[in-house]
Amino acid sequence: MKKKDLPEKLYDLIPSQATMYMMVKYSLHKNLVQIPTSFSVDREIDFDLLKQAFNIEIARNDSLRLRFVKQDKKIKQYFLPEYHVDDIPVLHFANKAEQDAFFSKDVKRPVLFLKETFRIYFYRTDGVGNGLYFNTTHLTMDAMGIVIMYFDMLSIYKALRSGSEMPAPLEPYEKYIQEEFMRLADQRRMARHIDFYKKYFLKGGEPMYAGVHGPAFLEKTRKKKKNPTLRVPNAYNPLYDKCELLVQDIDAQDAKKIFDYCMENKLAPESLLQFGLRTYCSAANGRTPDVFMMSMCSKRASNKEKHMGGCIAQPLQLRTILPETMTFREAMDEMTFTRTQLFRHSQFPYPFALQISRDLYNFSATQGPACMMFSWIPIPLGEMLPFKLDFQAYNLEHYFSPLYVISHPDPRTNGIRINYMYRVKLSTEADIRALHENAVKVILAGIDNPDCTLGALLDQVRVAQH
Amino acid sequence: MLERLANIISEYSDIPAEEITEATNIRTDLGLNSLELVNMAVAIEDEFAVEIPDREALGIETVGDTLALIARYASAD
Repeated sequence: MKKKDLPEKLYDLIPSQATMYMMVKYSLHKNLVQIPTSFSVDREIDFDLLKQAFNIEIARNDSLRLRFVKQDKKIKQYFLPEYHVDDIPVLHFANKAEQDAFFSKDVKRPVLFLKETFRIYFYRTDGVGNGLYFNTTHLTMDAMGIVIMYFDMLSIYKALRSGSEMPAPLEPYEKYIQEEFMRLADQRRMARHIDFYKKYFLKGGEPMYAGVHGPAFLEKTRKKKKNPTLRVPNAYNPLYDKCELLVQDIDAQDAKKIFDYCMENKLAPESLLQFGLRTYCSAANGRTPDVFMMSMCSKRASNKEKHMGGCIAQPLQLRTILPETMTFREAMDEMTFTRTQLFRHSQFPYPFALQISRDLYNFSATQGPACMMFSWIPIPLGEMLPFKLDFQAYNLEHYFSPLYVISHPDPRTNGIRINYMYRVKLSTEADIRALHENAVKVILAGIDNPDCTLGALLDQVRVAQH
Repeated sequence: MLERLANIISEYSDIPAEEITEATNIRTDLGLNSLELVNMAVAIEDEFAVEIPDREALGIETVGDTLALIARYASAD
């Protein structure tokens, strides 16, 4: 685009977007930071009406009007005033396998954000339902942004069908971007964040990488680098980012136990899942009490943030050092406290927090102590819409982290669905099956007897054999 | 002080500011999750120029408790 054609208001990327840009810039696989999802419903959809709903959504949701341009070697962004999509392909699949094959192929094709920001298809799948597939660059939307968009579109569709009132307007992402730059300029606040993170990373000393695959990779790296005390290997090497996807479910009965326990004890469901996963990683690595994972934080807390599109999520660095003498109840309190502290500093950009840890421990660009990236998408169960909704994530086939765990309540079953996208260079399918099975086992055992110790729970874990 | 606090709380919950009283239970009446509670706490700290320790913030039950904590830490500064 010529300089004279550029709009007046050009913005830099905010840190959440810049994090995504850095991931794709230094990756060999440019589809790494897009979010391909679909939803289907168990009844007929008037696709002409749904297309109309999507065009209304474009006018309401300014993140769909975001465009990017390279200027003076920097990526900048601006908002289009309006546009209209005339043609959305309506595909027909004979069965789910055909549907999955088609969209799995689309997932491999990068959404090159300087040229397009999303791809959208409508579809009918015999015996399954009718739906929408949407593959977007993460620079315009995070997972919660997509869920908000889907629910807003379906509310618009319902209003168009029934002639009822449109849902309340969405909040502008552009305003959030402006406020974010004001927060970054607040030196006093930034100094408090820096002070917190320095203390946080120093407490407990240098972290230890406790991969779900066990200690073999760390031991191999120690031999290669002739450093027997190395604690963090280069598990983030972009050369070995090929992934497979394994989808596992927690059934409705067990999910209810988890949700009920959370309600009674003022806990977040994701903290129980994180507890289960980190307990397996501990068991797989000589029962180390020190486990480090990244926890994707939606950062959508206020009503405005919960009714807005855009990319604002960023990873928080969740490190928990839990001795075996601690009880399950005490461990959940400690995890909640750590999460609370990190939430308090969730506005501090992830790249800055990462740099603090790198400076303290001399980590290279491919070294990182986090054994996984964990994400929880709080899809509402049951009550939001009068029909069954099937929400699906797709395998990117490449990812920057050793393991990406995407979990969410499953509206089809009232259970919990967990998508495990794992680097095949590091982990096997057996590792991931063992991770899931044992994570659920220790969570339920802890719920049944919250005074049992972590040591007793670790005794119950059966680590995958290599 | 209650009115200022109620305005902030209504930005995070579905309850209009005018319906929030000292007896309103932060956890059960507002239905907020941990992220929402902490971000609301940060907004409250900014509004009243106080800093409330994390462990004390976790113990808050009602709007009245919150006002008491604000008053305690505002006078300590």
